[in-house]
Amino acid sequence: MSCYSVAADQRARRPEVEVLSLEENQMSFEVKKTDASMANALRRVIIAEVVTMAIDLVTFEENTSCIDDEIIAHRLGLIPIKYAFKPGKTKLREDVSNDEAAAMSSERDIQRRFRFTRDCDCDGYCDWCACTFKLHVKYDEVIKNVPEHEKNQPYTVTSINLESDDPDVFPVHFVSERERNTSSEPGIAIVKLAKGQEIKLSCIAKLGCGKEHAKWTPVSKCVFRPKPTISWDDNAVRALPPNLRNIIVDVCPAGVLGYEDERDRTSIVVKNEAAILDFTKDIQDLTKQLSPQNKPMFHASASTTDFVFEVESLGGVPVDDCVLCGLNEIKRKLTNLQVAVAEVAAEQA
Amino acid sequence: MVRLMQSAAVHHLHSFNQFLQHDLSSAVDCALPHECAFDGCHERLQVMLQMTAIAIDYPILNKDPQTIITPRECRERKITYSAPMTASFKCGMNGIDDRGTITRTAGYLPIMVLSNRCHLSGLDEAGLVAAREECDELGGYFIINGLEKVLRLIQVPMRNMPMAIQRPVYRGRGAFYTQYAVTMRCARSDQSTCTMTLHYLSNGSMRLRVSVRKQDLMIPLVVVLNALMPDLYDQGNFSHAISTGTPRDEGSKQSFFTNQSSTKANPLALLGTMCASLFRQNLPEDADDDVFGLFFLERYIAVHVNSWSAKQDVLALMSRKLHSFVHAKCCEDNMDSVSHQELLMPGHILSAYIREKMEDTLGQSIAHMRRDAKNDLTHSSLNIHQNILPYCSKILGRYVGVVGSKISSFIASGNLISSSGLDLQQTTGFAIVAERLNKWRYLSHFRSVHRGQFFTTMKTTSVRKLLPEAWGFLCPVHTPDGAPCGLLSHISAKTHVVCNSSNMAANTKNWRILLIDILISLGMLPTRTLSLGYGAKNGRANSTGCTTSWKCMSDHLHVCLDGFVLGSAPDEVCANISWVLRRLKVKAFSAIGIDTTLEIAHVKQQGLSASCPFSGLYLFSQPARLVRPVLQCGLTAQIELIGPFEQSTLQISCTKSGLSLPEDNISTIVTETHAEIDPTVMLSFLASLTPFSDFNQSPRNMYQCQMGKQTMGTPSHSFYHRGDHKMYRLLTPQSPLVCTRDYHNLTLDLNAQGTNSIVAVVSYTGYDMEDAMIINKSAFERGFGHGTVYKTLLVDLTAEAERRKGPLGKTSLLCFGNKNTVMKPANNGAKNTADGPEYVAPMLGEDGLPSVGQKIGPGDPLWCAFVENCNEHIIGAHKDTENAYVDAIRFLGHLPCNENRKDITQHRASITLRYPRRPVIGDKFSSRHGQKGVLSVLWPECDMPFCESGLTPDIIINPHAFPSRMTIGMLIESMAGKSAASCGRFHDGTPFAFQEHRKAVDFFGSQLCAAGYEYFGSEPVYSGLSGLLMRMEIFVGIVYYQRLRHMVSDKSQVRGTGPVHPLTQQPVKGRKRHGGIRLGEMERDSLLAHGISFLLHDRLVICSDSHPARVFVDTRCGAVLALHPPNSSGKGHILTLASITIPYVFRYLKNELAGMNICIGLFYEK
Ligand SMILES: [Zn+2]
Repeated sequence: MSCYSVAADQRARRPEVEVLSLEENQMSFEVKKTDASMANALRRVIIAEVVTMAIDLVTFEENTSCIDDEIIAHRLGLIPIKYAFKPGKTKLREDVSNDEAAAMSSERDIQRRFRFTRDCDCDGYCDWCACTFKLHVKYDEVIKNVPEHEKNQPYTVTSINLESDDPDVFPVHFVSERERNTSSEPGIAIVKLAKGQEIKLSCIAKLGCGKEHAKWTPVSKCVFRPKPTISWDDNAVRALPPNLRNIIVDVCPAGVLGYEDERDRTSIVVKNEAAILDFTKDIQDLTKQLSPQNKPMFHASASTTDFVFEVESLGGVPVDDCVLCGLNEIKRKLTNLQVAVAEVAAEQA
Repeated sequence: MVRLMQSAAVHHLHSFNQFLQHDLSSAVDCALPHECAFDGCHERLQVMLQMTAIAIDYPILNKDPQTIITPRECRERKITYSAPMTASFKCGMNGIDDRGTITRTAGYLPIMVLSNRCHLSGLDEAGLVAAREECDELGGYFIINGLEKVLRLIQVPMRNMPMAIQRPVYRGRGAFYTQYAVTMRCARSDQSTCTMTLHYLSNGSMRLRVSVRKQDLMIPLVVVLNALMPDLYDQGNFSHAISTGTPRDEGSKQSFFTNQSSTKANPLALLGTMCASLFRQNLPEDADDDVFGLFFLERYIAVHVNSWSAKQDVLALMSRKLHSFVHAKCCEDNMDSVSHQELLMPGHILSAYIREKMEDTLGQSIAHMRRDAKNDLTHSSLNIHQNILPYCSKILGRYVGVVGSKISSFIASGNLISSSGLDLQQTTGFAIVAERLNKWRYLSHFRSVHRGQFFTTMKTTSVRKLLPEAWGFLCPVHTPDGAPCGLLSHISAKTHVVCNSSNMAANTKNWRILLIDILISLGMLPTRTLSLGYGAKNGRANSTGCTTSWKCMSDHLHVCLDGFVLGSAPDEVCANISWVLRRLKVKAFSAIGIDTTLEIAHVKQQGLSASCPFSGLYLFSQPARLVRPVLQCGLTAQIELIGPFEQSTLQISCTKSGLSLPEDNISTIVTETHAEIDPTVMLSFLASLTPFSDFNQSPRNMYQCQMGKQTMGTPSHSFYHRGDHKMYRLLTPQSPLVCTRDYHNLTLDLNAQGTNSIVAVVSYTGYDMEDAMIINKSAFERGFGHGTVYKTLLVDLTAEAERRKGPLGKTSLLCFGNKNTVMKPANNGAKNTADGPEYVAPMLGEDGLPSVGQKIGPGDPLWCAFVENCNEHIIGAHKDTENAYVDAIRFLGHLPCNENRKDITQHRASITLRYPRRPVIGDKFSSRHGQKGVLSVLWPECDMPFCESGLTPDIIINPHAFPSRMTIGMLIESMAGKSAASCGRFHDGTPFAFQEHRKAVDFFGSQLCAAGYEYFGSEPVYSGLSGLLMRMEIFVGIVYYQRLRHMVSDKSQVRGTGPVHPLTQQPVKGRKRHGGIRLGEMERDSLLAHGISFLLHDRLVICSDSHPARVFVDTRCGAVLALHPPNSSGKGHILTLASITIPYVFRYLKNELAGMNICIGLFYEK
């Protein structure tokens, strides 16, 4: 668990972030002491403005497969590309100013290594703004290596066959180990080749962000929801006969409500906070009916300051980096705003 | 088991196969012999020509039997898939029938793909794929010049059935004519037909109307009958036959045969004189009237039966029906109802057409011989006598060779060029192009049934009505809206068309005799014709010693088999007969040999009134009938095939309940005799694909049938081997999460045409008003709705050279090529070098064509050709305003007709271009429930509303789309799709699967609940802009969306100024010509109403045909026209001119009026 402080002013809210879970490609965290607009800004920025790399230009030399060039190019574009910073080995950009560097989350940030092509003074593309991939698969050659019983099958060209010219940049074949273990292909399928067919192309991956094209979006899911505040009238619940308690538990889909102690079955707790707000009204109506005082035994309301985020990465950028980059992007935007406001104020003064 | 998909066009195939095997030889037998006489000096020479056989081979190329040609090649090369056809003729001389056989080629006959004469016939899936066809190729069409043509199924009156009709126009046919008539469409064995109509005259007599070579022949019935039966005994019987017991009738019976005694002794000759003029060319010049009469009776009267007495039975039946109709004892038969109709099958019209064309050929040959005989009397007769065969062969060869091309052009144009009209009401619209826009559209071409071209012009709507008789046979849902509504319908999925006289094929005679035996043993009284022996060909009935049933017909029903009057029986006996036959018909063991498609229609005697149909027991076994399966009630429910006429006599329940009825006591059957197999059998292929269509308002299902046919999908799997003019392809097709049973039965997943999309029903941005829809920009960028349009264009250099023919009319030879042949003058023996660049069009290859995969921009060269022996080049440019990619290029080689040409250079090439079509604003999408919408904006993903799970919708539609359209099926599909996605399975959306006690909403709602969603499928949704929860829960689910082919890029039309019409100077019309859009009167009125006169002036004058004119100011005429420019320095008045701007058409109008000596003056004021 780690906390990041975002604002420095005394009067400002001091939002806190608490990471609830962090797995290979998904993450759940809580943002506290802020409001919906801030939470939404973070969500939007993660989806649309985190800088990633994706194949942007494909040059075909040979394509005798049954899929047309433009479709293959489109498929290549959607393959997530990963940049892995290797301390000491990766040569970083030298033109990054200290301010810029400070604005970036860490050395792992892709912008420490690559420039946007539009900001680069090269002609077309260069090592500092792009990465080249090559793909050359000839059915008649690759089929020699497959087992005999698969010889009549078409060969599936996957992201495995993409060869990068930069050791730090490579396509993502699987989002997680679990996906790798369950997949029947060695990577992301691009095209199938039959006997005599060949595909030879080179691709250039460039930096971009989700608002330009969906292929640069680093996450498949980024969503938040207000954290519910829950209160039970435990005494009233305990006073109910057991069968009525069961009815309360069953009013929601399985897994939303449950007993605190399965053997005791006296106090009901919320097992799934994420879903409880949808069913609050149902539970309230029911408990109001059951209550002798005609008073609901349950209260839940959406918090306006605390939010639970769930983010799922596509693999190109590690999920925690997605969030960090998002936060930094907001920071950068706010800094820009601050500077602009200061300028205007200076002008008016 | 034949898959349902393969059965889609099976009636076309069977009909063509039947045509090859049976109809064609019958047509040959039916074809008339032609005769010609040569009057030589020494002797008279009688030459007779008769067709004996038509042989059809397999399709070949270049007249070389070794080079077979496949349908794929024909499509790519834009040629006709046809096989050589040879005709054999028998030549007779001086009464000796057979002097030898002449065999001549009759051209090339187009062959139906997958028929018995097609090279693909009998191939399995792998074989079809190897032949570059679809793995589920249907066949059933012809390939004419590379286009797939289908002969349309046309609804025609049922054959061999007398039908009572009432037409006020009949009164205008002459004195005494009434509106009453009985008509019967009689079919010959070669499936050609001849309609005879019996008119009732108010003086009690009747007239028979037959059309011979489009000319109506009106003959008093009594004349025909006299010719058929000269004996008085028969006449007495006939009077009984037609009598219906009314006093007035008795009177007419008396007078019926009286007036003929005074006429000629030979009634046949009398008949002959009436029709002789029409048959001159068919018969020898010296034939007498008897022969003509005989010819007429044989060829035009009740042609479905052979014997004289059978013909008279038919006429008796017709006149009996006419009398009861006139005396309001039976009702009119509705010719618009399917129960009195059959279909015109491709094989039937082809056999009739070929026969007519062959007869024409013979007629022309004979006419030629007659000319020869006249012109060159001695010489030719001498010649002929010795080598009659070569002579005939030469003449026949001159005419018979074009038959094949005549049939090709019939199928190509759909226009019937016929001297007789083939007993049809239309001459155009027989063929349609089977467009492979997508599989659905392609399939429905083979299932469509047209009421006839004639009815499209009809003002009344009665023919378009959906009649209850069509239940189960024609789909009530699948008919287009607009002009062809109700005229173009589609046969239901389970209905098929009888194409051959199925069980009769093996032993025709035995089958009939057996059936007749059964009928007689069950108590039918046979007619005299029958008891004399069935099938006594052309024999005059012997009059003595036979009992006839006509006398007792007054309370009996008559029994007919295919229009042949077999006998009569009382009503109860008929009921028993039909019950027994029905049991025999469904028995699996067909050792008894009853045709499973036999139509048994027992029209019960329900009293004699104008509301009851004419009773009788009608059996039909012939082809062209629609049949559909129903369950027969009984101890064990068996599937019986019933026809539409039969259906109207049955009691069919819609559900299977109450099926078990006592089998032993038929008289107690008052309730259902049959039951439907499934409630969905009434639907056509397309209508049955709409999930939950039973929840929708019915017009929406009709719209879906139309839109399903306009969807971009997967029309073919062999794109590379097709040269279709235009093809649409969806790049992201998916299998629908919710689909009907028939979708799987039809294996339509192979040609999927839509995408499962998350649809939120919410009014979100304002961009979703009026059926507009919002698409998630990220979904679009990931490939949602992406499509490709393939266009193939044909470059024909021969045609191009023709077009560029110089003023001298010299055509120069064009060749593909790109080399710059302009040479620098050689200096000092050095090699000639090209002047300028090596290639004329640097973007193209050496062969003058682009390379595959190349991008072609607007105006880029597409092909390059050089003029032979000349340094000129012709470059063909890409005319579209869109970028395209070259998909395929084919050299098409020579047509067979060019084979004598020596050079091998290519003159024809086809270029297939690929246009990527990603959805743009204005493109049309629809769900499967007639809910179409236009893409209004691509909305960024981060701004889209999001669910708690993080899901953003792909599509947002407005809730206002639902209340007025009432497409509840779409809401159910949305829930079902959501449940399918969360359960990980496909759901069945077959209509009528849910009932009141098992509601669809509950079924899917409980599944959604179990998956953790809200019962009715709505979800709390957060606004993507503010991050706040929306006030209402939003209905979010998964709906299968189709992208329709109507795309903005095909339709957008913009013009400032541009090409104008040379005469009026107004903008030309048409998007292709960069023309303008009409600003019509109504548009003008609305601008006037707004008072925006400057805009009006801009639109109607400045942007149109603004014309600076000068007007004479101070003359009285104010003319705009002047022969000479007025010369101020000249003599006479000094004229002042003023410059004004007028529309050019006004000047034109003035010119035209001046031509009529009318002058228009303009008066000008400062
Ligand atoms: Zn660069």
